[in-house]
Amino acid sequence: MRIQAEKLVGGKGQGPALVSSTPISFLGGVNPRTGEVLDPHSPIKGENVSGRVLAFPGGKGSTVGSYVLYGLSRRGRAPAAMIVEKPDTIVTVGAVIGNITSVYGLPSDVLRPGEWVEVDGDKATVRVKDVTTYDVITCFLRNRGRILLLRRSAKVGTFQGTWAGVSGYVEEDDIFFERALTEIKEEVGVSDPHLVARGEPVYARNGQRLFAVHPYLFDVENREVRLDWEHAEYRWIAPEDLQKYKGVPKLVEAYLSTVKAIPEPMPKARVRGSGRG
Amino acid sequence: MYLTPEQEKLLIDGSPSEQTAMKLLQVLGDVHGAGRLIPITWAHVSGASYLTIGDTGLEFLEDFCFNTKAKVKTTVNPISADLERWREMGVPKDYMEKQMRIVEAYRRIGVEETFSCTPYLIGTPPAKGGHLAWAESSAAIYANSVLGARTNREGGPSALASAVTGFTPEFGLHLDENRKAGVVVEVKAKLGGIRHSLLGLAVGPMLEGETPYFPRLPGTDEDLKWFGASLASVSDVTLFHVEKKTPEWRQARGGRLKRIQVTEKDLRQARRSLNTGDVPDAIGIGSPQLSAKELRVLARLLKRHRPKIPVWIFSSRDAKSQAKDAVEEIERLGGHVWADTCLEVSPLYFKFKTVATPSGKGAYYLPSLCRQKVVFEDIEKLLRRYT
Repeated sequence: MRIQAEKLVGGKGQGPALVSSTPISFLGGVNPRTGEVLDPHSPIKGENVSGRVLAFPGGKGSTVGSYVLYGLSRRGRAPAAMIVEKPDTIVTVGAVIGNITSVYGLPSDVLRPGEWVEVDGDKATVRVKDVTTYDVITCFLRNRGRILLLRRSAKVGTFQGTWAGVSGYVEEDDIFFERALTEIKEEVGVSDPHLVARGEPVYARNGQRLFAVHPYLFDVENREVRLDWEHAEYRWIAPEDLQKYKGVPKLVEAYLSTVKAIPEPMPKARVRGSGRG
Repeated sequence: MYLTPEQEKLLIDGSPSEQTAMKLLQVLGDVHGAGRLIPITWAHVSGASYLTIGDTGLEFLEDFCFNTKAKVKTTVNPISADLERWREMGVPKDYMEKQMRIVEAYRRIGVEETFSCTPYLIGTPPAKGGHLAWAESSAAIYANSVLGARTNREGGPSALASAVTGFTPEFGLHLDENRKAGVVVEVKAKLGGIRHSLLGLAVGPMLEGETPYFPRLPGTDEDLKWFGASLASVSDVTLFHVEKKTPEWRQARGGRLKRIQVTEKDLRQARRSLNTGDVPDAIGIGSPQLSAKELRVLARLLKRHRPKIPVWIFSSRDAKSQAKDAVEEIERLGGHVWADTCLEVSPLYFKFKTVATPSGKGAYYLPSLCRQKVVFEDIEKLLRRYT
């Protein structure tokens, strides 16, 4: 698989993945001379960051943590590369002053501990051998404050019995948006949805497969739904109830990604021609 | 992010430190969506105290502050001891040697040796609308709010990068649209003395990062200094507006804003959460450092209440020289006025275990940074109680 991330610091780095599900406090949490993780609360306590591709949500704690990354780099004990979900100041500064190849914008759970990862900082790509990426679209249909959830039937290939939006694989030569419209027509019989937002992709790792989920939010005129063989049941639910359903991986994240992408309403008239409106 | 030819040149042909600095500003700018780098008039760097940055920070500074000079006025935050009287503070020699290596590193790039967290009180303050790159959260919030200058809350390395290049990425509080208020705060509590600190501590977590607008917040600029320092300690907020008082209050509001209230109960709760000690070994006054005016007030207070436990007062060398008489008076009465350092970046643990302070910022940081228990109380009450 090859995933596009965002560039933080250029260069190339590769090594076995070291994956932390929680933010890392570099000051006090990592030995600045050896790279050993000392933080007793860290899921990777006792591991060593040096030479590894470190994937983690971000930094926490003291800003002096940046200097720890610098110190590690100076001693040749830095991570081979870093994949950080959110580029906070501690990690960003540390990556630059320590000149550590780094990208951001990917959650750490995309990687499995120990697998070999190649990071290209200049192209901002992450590659893992023997893992295949599948692009899928998932569409949330919205009507008067409720969104449509579908329960996947026993006949589908993956995630039978779990709840999902309208979804489907993107075939080669497909245009993502058209694939979305086609799936909506086929799976629920709606032919004139109105696009509200397209979210940033979210990633779901499943064994040697990585699903790049491209989420869409549509408004529909009414709640008439005609299911095809792929689904057994449907419900119009309040978005805040989404967590209560056993969904396909990253269902909630996919929905939230569309919400985040909803364009701001047009600003109202403002005082002095500037401001938040 | 767009770079001018001049900036490109620094990135490619500058000294190794200048290249690192440009790269850092470029990456920070890209991450925050800045369109360009803008010139600044003044950089204020933090990360000068050996207590805070330790050997790892010292190592970086010695490497970085080499073969490069500050391109703009650059002031430096407090270090961890008085440069002249560190022995009296109980600071060991080997500790001070490390501290002096940090000072030397900054000297090499030609900074103004202010060692102060109140740079706005030294010399000519920054102009309204001027762009700065200031680390030290209490100074950044003061510059933005009380002076109407523009700075993001920088970290030590990013402010240093701005010092040696003269630029900062244009995002956040450098832009008009990000200086508007996001929430109106009604203060339903008495203010004055320690209560400005308490207000900052209480309101910080309620703001959820929004810039607050206060229709009413009585007090002097000094009061706003204590308020801002506390607010910036417990939140990411680096700008506030006060109606009819701060320079941008007229432009601050637009559209309908949500309103919140702060009550006596919130202030009481803030105080309770920071009181961790019973009997103090010393009284620590500062954080931020005291102004000349505040030193004079304190001298008068001490005259009335002779201290029975050590009174450590933190100020800048500049303020001390402006208030020589007051400093002499305080020292004669048994107090100490230290320069170059400040309450929570000085190694108090060589001498004390529990410190009483009227500073909200001090009370907030002392337990973690200086391993102190804290008695958080009004200065007059403290002096009355322990004199």
